[in-house]
Amino acid sequence: MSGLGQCLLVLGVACLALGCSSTAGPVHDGTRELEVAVPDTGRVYVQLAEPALVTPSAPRESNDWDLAFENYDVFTNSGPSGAGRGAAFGQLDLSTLQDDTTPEVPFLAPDKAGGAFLDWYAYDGKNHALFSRFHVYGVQRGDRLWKIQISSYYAEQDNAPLSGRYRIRYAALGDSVGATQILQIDGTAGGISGAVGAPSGCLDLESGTVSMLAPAVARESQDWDVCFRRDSISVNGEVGGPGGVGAVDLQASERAAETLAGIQAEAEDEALVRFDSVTQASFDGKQFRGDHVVSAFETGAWVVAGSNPEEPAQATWLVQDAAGTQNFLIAFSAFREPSTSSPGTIVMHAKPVKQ
Amino acid sequence: MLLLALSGLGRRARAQNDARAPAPAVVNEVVVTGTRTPEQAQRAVVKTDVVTRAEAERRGATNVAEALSTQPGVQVNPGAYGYLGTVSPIQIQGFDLGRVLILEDGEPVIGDVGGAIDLAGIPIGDLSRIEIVTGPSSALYGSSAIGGVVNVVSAAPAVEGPSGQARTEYRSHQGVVLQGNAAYRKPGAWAKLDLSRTSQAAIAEIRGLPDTQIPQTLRSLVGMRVFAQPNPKIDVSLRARWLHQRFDGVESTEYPGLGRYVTDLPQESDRFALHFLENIRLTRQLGLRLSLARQWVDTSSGNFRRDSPIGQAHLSTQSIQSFEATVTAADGPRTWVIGTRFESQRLTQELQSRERIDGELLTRTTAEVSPRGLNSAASYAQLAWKLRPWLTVLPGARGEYHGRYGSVIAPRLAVAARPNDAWTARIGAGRGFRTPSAEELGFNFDHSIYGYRVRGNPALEAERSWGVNADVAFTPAAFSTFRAGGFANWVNNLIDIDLASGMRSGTVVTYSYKNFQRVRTMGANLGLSLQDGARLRADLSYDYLWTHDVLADQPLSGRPAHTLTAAARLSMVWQLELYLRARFVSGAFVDSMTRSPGYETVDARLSRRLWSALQACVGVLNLFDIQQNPGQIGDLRPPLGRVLYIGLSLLLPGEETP
Repeated sequence: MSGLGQCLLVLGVACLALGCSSTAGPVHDGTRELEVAVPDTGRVYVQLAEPALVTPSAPRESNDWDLAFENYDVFTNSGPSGAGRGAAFGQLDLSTLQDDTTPEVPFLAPDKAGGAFLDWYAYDGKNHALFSRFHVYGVQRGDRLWKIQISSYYAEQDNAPLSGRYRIRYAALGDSVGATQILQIDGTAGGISGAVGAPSGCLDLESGTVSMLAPAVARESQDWDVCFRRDSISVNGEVGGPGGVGAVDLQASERAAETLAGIQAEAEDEALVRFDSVTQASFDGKQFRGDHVVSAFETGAWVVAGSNPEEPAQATWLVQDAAGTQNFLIAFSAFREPSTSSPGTIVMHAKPVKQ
Repeated sequence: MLLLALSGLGRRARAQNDARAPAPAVVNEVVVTGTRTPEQAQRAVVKTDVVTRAEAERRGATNVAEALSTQPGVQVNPGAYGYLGTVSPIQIQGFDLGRVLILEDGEPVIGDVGGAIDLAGIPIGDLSRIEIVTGPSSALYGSSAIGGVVNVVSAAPAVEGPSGQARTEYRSHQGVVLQGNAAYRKPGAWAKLDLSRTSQAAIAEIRGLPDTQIPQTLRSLVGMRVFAQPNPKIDVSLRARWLHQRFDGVESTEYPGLGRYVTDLPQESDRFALHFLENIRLTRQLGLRLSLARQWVDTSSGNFRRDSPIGQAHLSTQSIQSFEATVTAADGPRTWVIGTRFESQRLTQELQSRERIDGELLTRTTAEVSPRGLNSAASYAQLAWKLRPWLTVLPGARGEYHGRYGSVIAPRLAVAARPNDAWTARIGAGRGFRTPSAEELGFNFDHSIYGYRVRGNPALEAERSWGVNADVAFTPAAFSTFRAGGFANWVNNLIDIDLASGMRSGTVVTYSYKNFQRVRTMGANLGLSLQDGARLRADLSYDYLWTHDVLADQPLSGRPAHTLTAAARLSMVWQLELYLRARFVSGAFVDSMTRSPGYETVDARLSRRLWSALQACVGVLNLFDIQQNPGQIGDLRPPLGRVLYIGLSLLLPGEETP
């Protein structure tokens, strides 16, 4: 990297740290800058090859866009967001933006539907086992509220551990806390080699009944609140289903500080104490949401948590374009005139990198 | 047959003693791999290193991997599949995993694991010598000969009548070595039976847990070779081999809320090889060699929960059949080698899983590689032209047509000069290539239980390289030889799993193969050999290797830059022979956060002839107990620590290469 480039990078980082709101200059010789005005409602689309705003006629089927912005959400052209082969990984250190080649990352993640339960487990990559974080989740349907905790993902069958066999505890919340119910729910969906449309267990919290529903059926049904499918847990709201169910992770703010070793060390009785201590008041002020589309740019990741006004995180993301052939490094240097519903005008920097 | 053959051998032990007389300072075996014509190693136009059977035994080797593990210019990497510790692929000039061609008597060995041919699976019981040609050799051998070629050449009986050989050793970790062969030869015909069986107990990874760092290992070989010369112009030979390997590994996992579960990891493979060869001397100057070969490998790799009906196994069947015709024509100072080869490969792989579905125990089978045929036809030509008595030029080229990738052409030009008896200089440049394997094209490998899947890519193209090699040898006197050499390789379009584009879905990441890597390798070597009559022989060799992954702008993983190898053989009083071998390997880049530590190994062996045909030996490998750290990714140190061994070998009449 040239000396000039290093100077510009330092200036760019300083600008980010100071929260300056004017248009940033190029952060690096190979970086192109683009200003993206995000409206309070609706979605805007960006093409990265020659960074520009685009207006695809049929965004869900189009490969003409690589990133999209709506409110404080960022989407890649993949999964439920688009038909492309887009994906992303982040956060990477801001200095990664200097690289001319694709940085080593463990994977690229396409967009997926998820919500409060998205990170309910910690993954032990050495032993390929999922450990519950023992968070307590609130699930709301109309004026009814429940608390749920995942106890275990495994059950023994034929002297072998079987994954996807959830054990949960839940209780209704109101003026008083209802009796704790413990349920075992079959989320195996036919096992690892099961069919894509194999049914899995969906729970109706009011009646405590579990129905085995295929994903397509569940998306059209109002008769469940929480569905368990392999390692994914969804709620019946927004893109998850028509039930208007919302959920929230009561310990979401603790997630970043949690370690695998700490999670593995947490005993079941400590988890029970945590569950029992939750009342209706614990959820005061919490925002319940149904399932929505989640990308590598999660709201809590690309926007500095607690910043007021909102600021973009000082980080770099690796983005694969809609065709799945070209990688880009992306960073954000400023939000101009952000509001509660929109980051305003985003100043972003993009550069193509070699494979 | 073995016992019968051994019963009449004592009288020929003297001949064996003669055969074991010390070699000159420069190994001057006859080699064939570099040019497909017999040449003395010292005078060969293409530099060819040789490890004889006697040398391999001095190194304490029971298989080809062990014989080459301390060979200068070569790295036998125990870490490629370190969690099982079984596959031992070779690395030459910085290339491995499908980029070094492994031959047995000139025919490619199949049955790779992720591109790695396991050299530990080839015992040395019937070995004559191992020839190592470094640098691109695709002009003669086609695909995979980018880094070099290793040719394992079997031995024919040297004397008429019954002959044979037996070797038994007991080693640390309950290692047992039983190798032997028996032969009968008469004028114009011979037959030979080869048997080998080696075993070793499992080595635990963590004390107190059942997990194995190295699985319990059993390797065996049954081989039969016959040769006949019905008339002075024709000879025919048939080689049949069955190699069986079994590994029994164990791992255990703690599941939250349930406890620890043990998983058995049995792995088994059977390789069968049939090779028919006919040599026809059409005239004094013109010879025709016809080769017909078939090989097939059945492999199963299981993952079974202990005391449970639940589990899965990967089953694969790989086969190759080939026909090759080679004409060798001598025309005064010119020798032509012209040949054609047709090859057909087939690979199937499936996953068989036993699981309970809807209350019923079911066995399901999923194709991991669709039955896939790869056919190719090749023609090659090479001219060895002695322009002057001291100067030979060797141009050559090979063209291959592959049903799936189209055509590839690989030229080579080599020049050798020997201005006098003291000096030899060689230089060569050539092209190497590697065609995509069936796995790389059509894999559907589901290792979801380990968090990943690998998908093939039918759009892959062949990898291509250019390489230059040069060396000079100086023998000022019969007791000393100095050697120096260097090489450089440029490889484009390398196929690799694109880890940067792995797609995550839940806890499973899916990867695919791509032609995207570009690699440069360069190196230099210096060597010195000293010989004092029959009493002492000493060799010292230094190798330097530089590698560069162009895209990532970093070295290739697991390539040590500096290697120093020293060996000494001393004949002492009471017919004792002491052999010492030491290897110092520098640390190696693994990734931006990790380096494999440098290490040294010291081997020693003391042997003595007990009576005319019987020899006893005691030895130690890896004297200082340097050992790989279990779980440390990319650790190149030996997986086994110190190994002590004691053995007897019944020495049979000398053997020579056919």
